Amino acid sequence: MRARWGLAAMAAAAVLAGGLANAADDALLPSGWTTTVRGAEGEDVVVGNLQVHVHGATASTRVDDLDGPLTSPGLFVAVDLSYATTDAWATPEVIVLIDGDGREYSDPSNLGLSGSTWLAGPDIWFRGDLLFEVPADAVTSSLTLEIRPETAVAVLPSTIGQIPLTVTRAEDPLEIGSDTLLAEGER
Amino acid sequence: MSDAGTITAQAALAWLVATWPRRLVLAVLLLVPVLVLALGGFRAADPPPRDVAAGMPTDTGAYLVVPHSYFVSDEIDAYGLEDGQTWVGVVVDLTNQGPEPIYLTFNDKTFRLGDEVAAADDSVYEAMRLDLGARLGDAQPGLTYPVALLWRAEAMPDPPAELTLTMQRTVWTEWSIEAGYYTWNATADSYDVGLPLTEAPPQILAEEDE
Repeated sequence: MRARWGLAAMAAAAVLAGGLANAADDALLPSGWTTTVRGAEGEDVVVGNLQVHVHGATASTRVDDLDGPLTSPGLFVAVDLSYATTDAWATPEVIVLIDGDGREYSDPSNLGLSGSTWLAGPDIWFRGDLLFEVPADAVTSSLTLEIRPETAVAVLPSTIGQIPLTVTRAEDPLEIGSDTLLAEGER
Repeated sequence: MSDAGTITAQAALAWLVATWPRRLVLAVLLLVPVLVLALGGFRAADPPPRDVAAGMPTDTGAYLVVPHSYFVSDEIDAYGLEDGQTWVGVVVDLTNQGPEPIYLTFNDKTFRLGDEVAAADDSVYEAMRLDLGARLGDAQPGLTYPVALLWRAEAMPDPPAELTLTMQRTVWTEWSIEAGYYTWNATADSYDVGLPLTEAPPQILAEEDE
C-alpha cells in the first residue's frame, strides 16, 4: 500500500515539475523580440548586417514594361535606394512597405518586371529601384520602408529597420532599371 | 434506511464494481462521452451554406469577393496542365481585406469548386490578373483585382450551364504556439454562388504559335 502512495506522489511531482517548467518558459524566456532601428531618407542606416541609404520614392498609376506601360488599379511605388552589407555578400531577406494603417505590401515580383531586391557585398554598394503596388489611400496615409535583413525565426531575436518615405507623385510611367554598382563613397 | 428489496444507487454501484468484467464494462461506458467530446461530437453542427447571387459583393473575411462567372479552357497562358486536363476558371473581383499580402495559390482556404467538376486540386492552382494579363502572386491589402482563379480538372467536353462556387469564411487567427503570428483560418460559415458559363477572358489566353 505504501509503495502505491509513493508512486502516486512521484507521478504528481513529475506533473507539477512539468507545469512549473512550462510556466517559467512562457513567462521568463524571451521569444521573437525584435530591435527596431529608425532611420531617415538621405542618411546611411545600419540594420543588422545591412547598410541602407534611401534616396526617395515616386508613385504613378503606370509602370513601363517591354510591351508598353502597365496600369495599376492603385498606384505603383518605386523606392530609389542603395545598400551594401557589413560582412558577406547577401541579398536582404525581406523589404516591404508599411502604410499608416499598418498594412504591409510586398514586391509584386509576379509581374515579370525588375524591382526586386538584389545582391550586395561588404561595403560594396549597389543602387536600384524597389517596386511596390499599393492602393491609392496608402500613399496619402504615409509610407514607411521596412527592412528585415535576415529570415525571421520566431524564437530568435532579430533587427528590423524602418525608414519613413517622402513620396513624389509622377504622371509619367515609372521606369524600373536594373541595379548598378557604385564607386567608393557614392550612394 | 431503505426498504428491503429496493435497489439503491449504492447497491447498484456495489454490483457494478463487484467483478472485473463489470468494472471494465463500466470503464468503457464512462469513456464513451469523453471520447465523443474529444472528437468534437458535442459541438454545434456546421451551419448550411448561405446562397449569394453572382455579381454581389461577399465578405469572406480575408477577401471581399464579387463572383461573376466561370469558364472552361485549355488555352490559358498558365503552366501545370497534364494530359487530359483542362482549366476551370472562376472570374471574380478580389480585395484583400487583411493587413498583409496573401499568396493566394498556396493552400487557399476560401475558394472551393462544386461537385459538378472533377477538379485535380481542392484549392486554387493558379490565379491570373485580368487587368494586366499576368500572374497574381501576392494579393496586396486594399487593392481590388479582377482575377481568374484556375483549377486543373478532367477534360469537360460538355460543361454545365452553371457551376457552384463555395466561399468559406475565414478569420484572422493568432497562432497558438507563437504570439504575434497570424494566419487566415477557415470557419464553419460558407457561401454558395451559382456562376454562369462564359468564354475564357482573352487577356489570359496563350498566344498562338506562328
